[in-house]
Amino acid sequence: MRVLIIEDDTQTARFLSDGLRECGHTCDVFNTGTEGLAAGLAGGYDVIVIDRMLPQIDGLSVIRTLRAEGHVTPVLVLSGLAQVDDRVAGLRAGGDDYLTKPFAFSELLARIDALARRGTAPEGEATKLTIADLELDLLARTARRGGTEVPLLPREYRILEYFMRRPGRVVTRTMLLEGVWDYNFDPQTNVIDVHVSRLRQKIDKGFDVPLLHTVRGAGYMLKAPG
Amino acid sequence: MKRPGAIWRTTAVRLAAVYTALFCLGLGLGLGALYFGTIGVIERQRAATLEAEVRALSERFREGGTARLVRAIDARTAPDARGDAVYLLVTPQGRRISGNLTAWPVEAATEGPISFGVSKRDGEQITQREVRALAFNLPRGYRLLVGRDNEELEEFRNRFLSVSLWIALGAVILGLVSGLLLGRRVLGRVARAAEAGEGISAGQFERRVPVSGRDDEFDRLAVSVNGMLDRIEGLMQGMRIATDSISHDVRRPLTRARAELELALRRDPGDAQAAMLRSLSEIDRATGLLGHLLDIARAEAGVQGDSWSTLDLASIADDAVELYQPIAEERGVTLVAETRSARMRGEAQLLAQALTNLLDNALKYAPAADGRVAVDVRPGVDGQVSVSVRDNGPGIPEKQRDAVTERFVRLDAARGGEGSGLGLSLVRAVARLHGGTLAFGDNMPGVVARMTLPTGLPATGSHAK
Repeated sequence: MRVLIIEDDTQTARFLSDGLRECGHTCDVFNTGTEGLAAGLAGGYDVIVIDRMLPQIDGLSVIRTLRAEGHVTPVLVLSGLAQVDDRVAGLRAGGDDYLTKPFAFSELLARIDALARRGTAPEGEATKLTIADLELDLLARTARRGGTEVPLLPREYRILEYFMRRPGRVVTRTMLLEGVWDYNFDPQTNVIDVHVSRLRQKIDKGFDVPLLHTVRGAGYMLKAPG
Repeated sequence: MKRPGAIWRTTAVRLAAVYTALFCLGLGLGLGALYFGTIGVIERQRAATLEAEVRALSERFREGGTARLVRAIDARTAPDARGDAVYLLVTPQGRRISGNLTAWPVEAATEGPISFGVSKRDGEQITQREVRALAFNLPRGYRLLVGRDNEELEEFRNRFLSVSLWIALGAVILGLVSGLLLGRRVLGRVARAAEAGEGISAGQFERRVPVSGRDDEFDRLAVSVNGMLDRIEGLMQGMRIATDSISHDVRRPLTRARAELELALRRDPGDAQAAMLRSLSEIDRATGLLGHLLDIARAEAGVQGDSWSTLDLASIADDAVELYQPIAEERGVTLVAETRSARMRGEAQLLAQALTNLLDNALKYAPAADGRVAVDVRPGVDGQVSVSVRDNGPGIPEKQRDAVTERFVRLDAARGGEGSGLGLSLVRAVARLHGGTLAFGDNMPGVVARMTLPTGLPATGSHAK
């Protein structure tokens, strides 16, 4: 995956590019809005990670210009500003995701991964999602494992759908809070773990092969065995 | 604080002085017009009277000659007759026949109106008087002079002048005294406001500008200034909580992380991994605390932004309850919600965060065995909605409840728990951002936390009355 990083803090930029390279991605780093915009306009990237506050041209203007020029490359906005209004502004300018500093690298990685693959697998087309012997009927809103219906509460269904749409990819707790509850904040107690373990009870209990895994220090992953 | 002469510097007194001067000028013009108008009327009346009298007397002369005329003049100049009348009848040679003038005045050479001075004896006093007269030639060379002295006019003039003087004096005194009183009142109220401001500058942040209750311009000013001061005090309180919490709660995990790393550096490398993991979690803890503090500071300083919308507090509460339901069950606490649709304008994320904080808090203190937490949302009266979260935990002693509402940092200590108490600070900040309040009451046993918020929506006809 080719990632364009536009970040003026060289230490953060190095931390990002080193981490992404270790995971096997290719990175280009620019420290100003002008250089970053030029690189973005040249194209060829799968994901752009951009800081909101940049010298010369600010991050949101860079995104707006890219969008105006017809570039659809997914953009992840990094910002020290965490207020809801700032978030709204970031997404309105054409950003696809918003991450507040400081962040865990695993969180960033999971989100970049989700953004990069979004373009390849359009959502909402299928009427059925399948992973191994787990089936999700999007029309009837029911789940079956090994042919047997798994009774799910509405919220559990939505959590499972979120996982099924991201097979084999890390889903963090904050991604679940944002994607399923539409919460942009972390509740004081880690309530997500309890929800996920309940879902796991329902879909994995009594089966030899577990599908819903915990990824240490990052989140969860739903994946077929093998 | 009061300086001598300060009252003359006030706008109100200067205005009063200017208005008094203008009023006096207007009064003077009015009185002048009245004076000259009245004088004119009196003059014309006198001229008409003289003409009428001359006509009447010449009629007598034609009917009965000099004898008849002399009788008439004598009757009119009798001692009991009006004192201001002047008559004189002379022969063609200029000799006096009758009348109360001693000689024909030199000014009255021809026929027509004249005026001349006479000296009049009034007992011992001799006064100079001006006489307006009409000279008339009778047949056969006799000449008649009929006049009126200006005593009446003088009297009018004197009375008018003295009355005018009193009126002007009264107007000036009234204007200045009322101006002075008004100025003193205005100056007093401004001075009290200024004193409040000086007190606040000197550090007495609870001081406010007094409101008289008369609902006038000064009250409006005082109310708006006080509103501003309340806001500033709220912001300062938020700052105080933030700095207190930074110094206690954020420093602690950072101190621990630092100590861990330092120790690991000294010890053998095998421990490094574990130390780094522990440090990381401490740093995450500090980051989380900072995030909460920033949330609070923003909510405290906040205004309505793009992210505000019309929402249903009930569905926000239902979502939060649903989020916490599994954890409640895990802890053996019954979590129930009774929500009725309560529409309002607000910031959904912050309200949801406030509700999860209230739930978090209630679940933390509800007893594990037969704990019970109840959430209810209801549309209230007067354009308000309320959400309350009750638990049956140890509760807060009533004495401490007020203190707790003042400084949320101490709530956890009051309930015998640990933690920063920032969760409730955020709830209060969110309540205030929405123009509402957060209050704690006794649930017997336990605590009921109630957030009351204005809907911010125009009242609908069906709900009114």
